[in-house]
Amino acid sequence: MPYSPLGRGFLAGAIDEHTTFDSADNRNTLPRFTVEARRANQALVDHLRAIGQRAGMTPAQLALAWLLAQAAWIVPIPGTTKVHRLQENLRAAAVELTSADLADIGRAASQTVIMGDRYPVDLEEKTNR
Amino acid sequence: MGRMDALDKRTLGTGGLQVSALGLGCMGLSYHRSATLDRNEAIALIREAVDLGVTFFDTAQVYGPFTNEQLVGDALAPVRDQVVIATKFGEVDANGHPVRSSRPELIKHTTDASLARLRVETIDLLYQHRVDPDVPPEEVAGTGQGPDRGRQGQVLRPFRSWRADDPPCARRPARHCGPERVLAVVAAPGGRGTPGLRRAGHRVRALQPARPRLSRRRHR
Repeated sequence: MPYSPLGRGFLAGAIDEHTTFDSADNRNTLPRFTVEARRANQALVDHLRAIGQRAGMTPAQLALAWLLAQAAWIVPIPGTTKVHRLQENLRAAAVELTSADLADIGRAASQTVIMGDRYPVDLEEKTNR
Repeated sequence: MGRMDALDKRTLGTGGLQVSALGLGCMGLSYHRSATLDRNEAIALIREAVDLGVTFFDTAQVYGPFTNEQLVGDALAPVRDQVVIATKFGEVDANGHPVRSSRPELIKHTTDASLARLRVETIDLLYQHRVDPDVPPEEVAGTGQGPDRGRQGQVLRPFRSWRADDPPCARRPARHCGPERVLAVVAAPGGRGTPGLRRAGHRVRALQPARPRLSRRRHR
């Protein structure tokens, strides 16, 4: 059950360094969502977008399809407030990535250095990792 | 996209809990996000997901606190028998105050209230939101099972999921949790790049000792 399977929305491709979050949005407190991190991590979205164009898929669909391809018992739980995003996400369950697609995604992601921890120190500590 | 009644099913754990291949994480409909929806819109979105074939919905006591469970409960009440609802304990007490506790009394007490908020007699999947270092995993896992599992009507499916970031469980699933009841919840893998995704995948595999061989083939 991967939660935040779209990286808290980042992999949907609409969040960039210029995005502002509401004061109640906890992404304001996450190191991975600082302006610098968003600017740096955009490279991963760009990679996914390029791969997705070939496969006719959005970055979010690639991310979800990649997860679904990892094992038969993987069930990602993306959230959204928008019906069109819900539809977009669900279409990912109807496609099968080729091994070449999977390899390209893996290569693109491994070549991207992700900036910013997922949680601030106090929250990370609560996960006992 | 038209109606999608053919969203694939997948099985969580070995207890036969069947869910749609993609669930809907409901937190952001009312909590911790910028563009939350008003209540009616949120209910409409959840019901749209049902119409599109989603049968798995995730919430937690701490989202709100409590209001997200109420939202999910109200939205899904008409289709209760067609869906699987997951919620989590361990981050708030019965008054909604922040705690980090998985004491059995707190689990039972707050879960009773979750049943009411979710408008269900059974919580299909109940899981620990954050690890409580003071309560051993086996004690947490045992809560809600056995003859004294709570008031009449509180029936917790004998099925637990565990955060993949719970080290005792991850290392010793057979002894502490029972492999048949272990379900991994992996953290925000999508945003972590492949190294994170790989780690998450390995953790999941570590938690699934009795799983069939992994296959990249999609099962239809």
